[in-house]
Amino acid sequence: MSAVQEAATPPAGADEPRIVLRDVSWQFYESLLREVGRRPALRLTYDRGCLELMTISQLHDRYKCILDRLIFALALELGMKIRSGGSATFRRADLERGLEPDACYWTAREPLIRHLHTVDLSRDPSFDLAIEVEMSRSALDRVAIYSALGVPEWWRFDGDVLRGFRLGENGAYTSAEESHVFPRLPVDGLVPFVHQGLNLDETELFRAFTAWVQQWCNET
Amino acid sequence: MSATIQSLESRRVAAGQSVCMDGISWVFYEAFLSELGERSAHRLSYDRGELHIMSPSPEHEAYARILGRVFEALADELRLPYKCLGSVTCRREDLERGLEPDNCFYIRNVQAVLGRRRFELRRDPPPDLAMEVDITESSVDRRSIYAALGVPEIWLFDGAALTFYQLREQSEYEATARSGTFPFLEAEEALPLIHAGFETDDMNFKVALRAWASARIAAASGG
Repeated sequence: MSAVQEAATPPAGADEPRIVLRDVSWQFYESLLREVGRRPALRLTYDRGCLELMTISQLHDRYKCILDRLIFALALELGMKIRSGGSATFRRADLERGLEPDACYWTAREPLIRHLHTVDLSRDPSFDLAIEVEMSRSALDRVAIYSALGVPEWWRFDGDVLRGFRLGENGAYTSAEESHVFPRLPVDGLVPFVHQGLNLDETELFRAFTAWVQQWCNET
Repeated sequence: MSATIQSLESRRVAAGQSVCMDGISWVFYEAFLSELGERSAHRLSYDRGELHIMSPSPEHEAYARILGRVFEALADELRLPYKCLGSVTCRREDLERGLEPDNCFYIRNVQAVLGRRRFELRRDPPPDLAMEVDITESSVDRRSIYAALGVPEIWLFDGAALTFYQLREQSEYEATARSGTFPFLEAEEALPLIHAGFETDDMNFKVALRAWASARIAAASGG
């Protein structure tokens, strides 16, 4: 699994500079989160003493927004409940791990957290789906953090291909062509829309993708 | 912890990268410095709320050492007392600025730092000479921080050229053909040494530097 990922992910890019600090305490990670606040261009990842600070590129952010529209359209068309977790910081002091997903969603578990204004993963269920836009590779193993947080499915978009991964019982993710979060959805079906999204306004994209979802529903 | 380090090594971050944050308080800058500790290779620059963290590449570090060796060869030959403080953190809370030079020396003010375990710029004088390597076109204006701290001279190597800067009246640096510390030394003649230092092992480089410094100073004093 890790070998597959190594091969498939692009190297750390100059467009998205990042720094890794070692032997960083959990207290410092929390104080940095407080200090820099909610700043979408800076992404922090903490894993047992290692802290990565990464600058998000504009294109990275754009893909994230496009994928978010597509996922909302899917939920709407499929009549599913959904709640977005955005790029908020999700962390567990007991596991000494924390990160900001590019996007994340509760679907099946949405009723469990519906009444909560803020979710605390040390107490509340984690999201059902995480989105990782990997224009450049993180220096920390973010996938292992998702696994530790108990995220059952994540999708990776590398600027070219979108792939889905499911959490197995052994705590490792394996590549899955079909989503479980959106049952039987072929994840790569979204790829043309992610690319088109760069050249369409978001309402047009939403309509075009909705038509595709309806067609897919009729065919299956 | 060991798993993290393992994954770090297999997914190595391209060195020479940097990250910038603004709205950072002085208290947090100090917390950042103490969290990273003295042994950290990271270079922090802080300027009134803006914090820049850089992870120097091995090449960057190598050039910083080479610049220091060129200085040391000349100072040794001249029997000029100096103290190298490397990448010590130079900061002034009253000015809300701080940084770690790539390398730095106390020369004129050498007495002020002898035997010191800690030093405080508000009380102690700034380094007399700082070495800067900028091979990644850093967007941060470190020179304005040096100017505020009152560092009289900077040697800047950008991967191609060596430039000497002298601090002038209006707290601005002026590029000069010759070093303020060694008025006979031209940047042009030091440049090949820096390139040679990168290609040569340290022992042979130091031997060659000593010979060059000896001949150069004999020539300068002989007229």
